[in-house]
Amino acid sequence: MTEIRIHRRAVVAAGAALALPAAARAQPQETSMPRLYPVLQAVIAAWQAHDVEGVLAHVTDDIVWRNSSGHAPAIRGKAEMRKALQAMAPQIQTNKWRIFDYAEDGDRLFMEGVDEFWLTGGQHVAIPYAGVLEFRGAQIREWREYFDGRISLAMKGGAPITDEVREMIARPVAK
Amino acid sequence: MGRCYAIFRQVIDAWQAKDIDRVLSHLADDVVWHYAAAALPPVRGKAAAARLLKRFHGDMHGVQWRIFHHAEAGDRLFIEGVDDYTTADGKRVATPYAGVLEFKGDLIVGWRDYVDLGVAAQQKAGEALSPQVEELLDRPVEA
Repeated sequence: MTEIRIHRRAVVAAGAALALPAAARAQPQETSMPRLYPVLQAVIAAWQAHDVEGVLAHVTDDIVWRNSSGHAPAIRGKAEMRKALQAMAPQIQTNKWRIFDYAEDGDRLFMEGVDEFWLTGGQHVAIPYAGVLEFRGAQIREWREYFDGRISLAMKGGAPITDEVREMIARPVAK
Repeated sequence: MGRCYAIFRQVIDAWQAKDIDRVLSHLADDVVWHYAAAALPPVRGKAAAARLLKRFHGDMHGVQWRIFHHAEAGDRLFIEGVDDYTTADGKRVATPYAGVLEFKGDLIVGWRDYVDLGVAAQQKAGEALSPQVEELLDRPVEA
């Protein structure tokens, strides 16, 4: 994303899924133990602890971070990712980044979630997104996220969260 | 090829053939389709989906809808691809996206595509594809 996410583990109010189909509220039904998702959980935990180096420990030196659906150029390399994270951290007051669903295929982890946070200025931002992480061994070598950047800008500017977004993020967190 | 992905390939083939009825045959009556997740309200129900498809049909030409990667987990299909087409006034639009489809039996009951409509708006205004979009498009296509 275009903003750092120092996330706390989120606890989502379930039961407010409204019009989402029943299947949307299901938990991942993996037939085997996930290998990659625990790494993402570790990244989340590190961000929740405001531990940027803890995040970076899970990415390769040549990480490519495509965090804007093609709107902005990719961030390349761990050093640039560190700069981006450190620059954005002070803007975030509270974070509730969370993953609703995921699937693994080889070295690839697909995820669906929301980047929800409150800025120090008080704005409440919630960006539903889907993305893909590519792994080399146990580390992330490429990170691609897809979302609508315009709704992010609108909410950062103080626009209220829409009913559509509220509905989309009222889902249980993947275990 | 997984069960869900095989059905999805039929949807793609139907859309490339401009066969709206065949696309609709793969949707549940109560489908909820977020065709621009979070940016626009979803369409709910097959009748509303039919109206949207007809509108798309008129706006999108030379469709080259491509999938780069996918994975399945139970009744959910995760995809990463690009919507690539030419508008009626000749502008190329290529929007990289990721999506999640949910199945009830063989029918799609939930469909959420995450895409940046701002990227599409720039392209519809006549801007060339950006280098970062070109990078996302420059990948092998899955069969």
